[in-house]
Amino acid sequence: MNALVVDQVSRRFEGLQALNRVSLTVQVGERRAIIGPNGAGKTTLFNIINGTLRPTTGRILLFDRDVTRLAPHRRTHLGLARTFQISALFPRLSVYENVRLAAQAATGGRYAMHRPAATLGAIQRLCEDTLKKWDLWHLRREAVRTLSYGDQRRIEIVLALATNPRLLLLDEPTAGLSLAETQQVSSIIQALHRQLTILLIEHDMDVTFELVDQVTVLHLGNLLADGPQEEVRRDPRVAEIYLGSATEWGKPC
Amino acid sequence: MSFWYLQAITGLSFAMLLFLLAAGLSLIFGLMRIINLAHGALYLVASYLSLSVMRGTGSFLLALLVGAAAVTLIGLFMERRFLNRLYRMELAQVLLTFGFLFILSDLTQWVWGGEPQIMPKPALFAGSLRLGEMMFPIYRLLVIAVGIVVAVLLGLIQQYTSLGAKVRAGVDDAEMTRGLGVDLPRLFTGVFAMGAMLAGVGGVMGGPIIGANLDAAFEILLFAFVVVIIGGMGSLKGAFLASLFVGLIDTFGKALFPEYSLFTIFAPMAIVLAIRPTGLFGRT
Amino acid sequence: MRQRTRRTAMALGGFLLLLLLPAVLPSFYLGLVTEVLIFGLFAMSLNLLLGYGGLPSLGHAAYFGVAGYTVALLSFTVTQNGWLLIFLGLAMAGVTAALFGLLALRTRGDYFLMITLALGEVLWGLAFKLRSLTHAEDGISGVARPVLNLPWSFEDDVAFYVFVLVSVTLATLLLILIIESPFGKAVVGVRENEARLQVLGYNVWLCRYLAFVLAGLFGGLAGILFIFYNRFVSPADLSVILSAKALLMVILGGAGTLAGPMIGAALLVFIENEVSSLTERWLLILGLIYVVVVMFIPAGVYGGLKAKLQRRSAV
Repeated sequence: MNALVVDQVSRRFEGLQALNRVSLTVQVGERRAIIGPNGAGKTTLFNIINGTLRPTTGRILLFDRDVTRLAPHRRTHLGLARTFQISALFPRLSVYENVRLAAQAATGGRYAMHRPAATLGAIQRLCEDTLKKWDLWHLRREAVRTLSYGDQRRIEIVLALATNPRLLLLDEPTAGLSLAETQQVSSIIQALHRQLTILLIEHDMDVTFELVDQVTVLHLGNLLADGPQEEVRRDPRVAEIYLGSATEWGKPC
Repeated sequence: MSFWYLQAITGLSFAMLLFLLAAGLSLIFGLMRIINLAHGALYLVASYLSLSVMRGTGSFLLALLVGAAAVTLIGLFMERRFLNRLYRMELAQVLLTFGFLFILSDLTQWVWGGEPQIMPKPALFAGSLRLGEMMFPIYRLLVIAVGIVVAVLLGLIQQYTSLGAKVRAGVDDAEMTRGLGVDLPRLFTGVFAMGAMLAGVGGVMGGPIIGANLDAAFEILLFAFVVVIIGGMGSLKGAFLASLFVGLIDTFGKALFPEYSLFTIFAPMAIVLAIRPTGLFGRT
Repeated sequence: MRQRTRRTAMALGGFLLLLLLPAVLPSFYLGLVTEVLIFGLFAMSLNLLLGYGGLPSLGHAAYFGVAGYTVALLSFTVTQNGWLLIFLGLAMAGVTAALFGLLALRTRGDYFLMITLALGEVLWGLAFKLRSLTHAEDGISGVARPVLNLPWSFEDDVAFYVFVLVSVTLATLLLILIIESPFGKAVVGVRENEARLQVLGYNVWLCRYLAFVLAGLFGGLAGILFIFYNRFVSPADLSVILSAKALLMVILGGAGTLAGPMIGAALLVFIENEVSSLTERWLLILGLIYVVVVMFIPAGVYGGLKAKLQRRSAV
């Protein structure tokens, strides 16, 4: 079964072709990076997969089901989860409350009004387990916005995982982190169970090649290359766009 | 036959008064995202002030100047001292303008008493114009002319001056405009003061027709909001066309089916809201 | 847990105190307290939208007035049964909110303010112009206190006060339950970060819509209590002036806090009473209150105090 099929997807903004007939297939359990210089259309593609944006033309299939016209929250119910490039948490709420919103979503009683959330055992247990598992228990009372950026990135991933996804989209999970924090986040991702399909946007090539088997390269909205990472790395066109735009491609891996 | 002509003149003159209010409201909302509920109070202050000046001096021109200048100053005061400290806090701004609505309108009741008062028409425009069988009240024709002149002037400013370009860009995307080096706070102050001035002109021009009257000021403010919603926030063209529409529909509606008169305005507004929440000519 | 018990004890004590109030308070002041309770409930209903959902409505009087007019009109023509009148008033308020929500929730922020204002004004205009039904600005007077088939008659002011106190208390408990429930937490999530809540699997529109309709229902209940109290309804009960006053009450007390709106309502009702007995210029003073609250106490009296205390206890 395919976790995700992107079928001839195009997206136009006013006067800008953000994506041009991009197709790609991700199998269950695959770990794939989407790379490309700024403006390649990576985040646009994520937004289309997740349903925040509609494609101008083309289709999106999640686990063999056409979801092109499905609202984002319905895609979440099919097993999709994502993180955002810029930390998108509930900044004024505590860590506990952040996790609880995810736990409510996972346990199904998300719109229940008949009982206080604090008395619902299933939700509480899930919160406690999650917080302890990710070593956040001691921070549970802190407002998220007061935490370090590294902790916020970590919670971003924790929230995404709390809904038990089958396909996880990670939008630059290590952007803006220190070397140590990058290592930490990277090992978290590596330790995720292998049935979880992961699609990753990442600028740090060391991290990328450590984490994925497959690489898709986007350039100015077009699919430039697609395949196992060794192959893509040898592709002269890929080297060209990266050397041309002077990024970290040249660094040793 | 003369019923139709007279109603049309009445409707058009009402439409032009509406435009004087709605143009300012619309630009202020489009550019600054402020719902200025005090706009009707500015209108009211101008109509009372001009009434006193007219009674004291007999000069309509002087009344117009004093009325417009005074509320421009009030507008400047509101914007510089208060509103610009609440940038982008839409609820706080609305409540603030609401406070000014109460303060200003209660002050007029204090100074001038609660009775509605009608301003005498300037002698030059007092009579009626006779064209064959038909009589046209000259003052209403004057109101229509002033409305059209203001609309044309505003249109020219918006289309051909750098100030107009800045306003258009600001309505489109305020942050981007700031990024391009436009002094946004000054632009805001200018537009707000200009909106206040137009409301003042409306208040003075409306004096001989509608009079200085608290309830009427509230009602005309309400109509001006309907105009802004139908026309689209931030659009001058929308404000002008919707003013014509609302002014005429309301006048004929009141004459033909008085029980449902407000409904003839609100029904189109509800339809516009349902189909295009940002108005016919508004940014989507 | 101990904190909770303490809070419950305090609330219970407060309720008992209020229940005993008629024994010591002259009937004029009892009337003021009744008003505080009713407007407090109205402000709390708006707070569900504004404080928790982050949706500033400038048309909340719509539900208050619709429910009031419904009860007033039907009490003369259809039924004297208080329970039925309450139900029908709530139903009309709910239907109105359900319709308005469909239109208003297509927009956010400043547009939302503008559209809720416009929708509210539509009803105000109808009440004002449909003279044959509503008697326009003369309003409808002479509505009887509710007949509820209980051993007491609520024509008596003390009995009616107790009726309002019990109703507002029950409604408040229900509101607290909603705010503390998973749904209530989700509504706060919508306010804090809509995009994130959506990818967690919440239907963000539904959260907002339910909050909107619930706020309308509780606002309608306040309107019903008010018509029974005041025995009179007029277009003023639908006007933007009342909507803005409710916003002022919420903000004066503290948006997003449980007790804030009730405290704001109490302050405003008592200030209005005091000022009106001294001068005819109440509207001028009210205008100044708007300006002062917005400029100097945006977090509200109770909200500001609470934040200060929390900061101190955190140190």
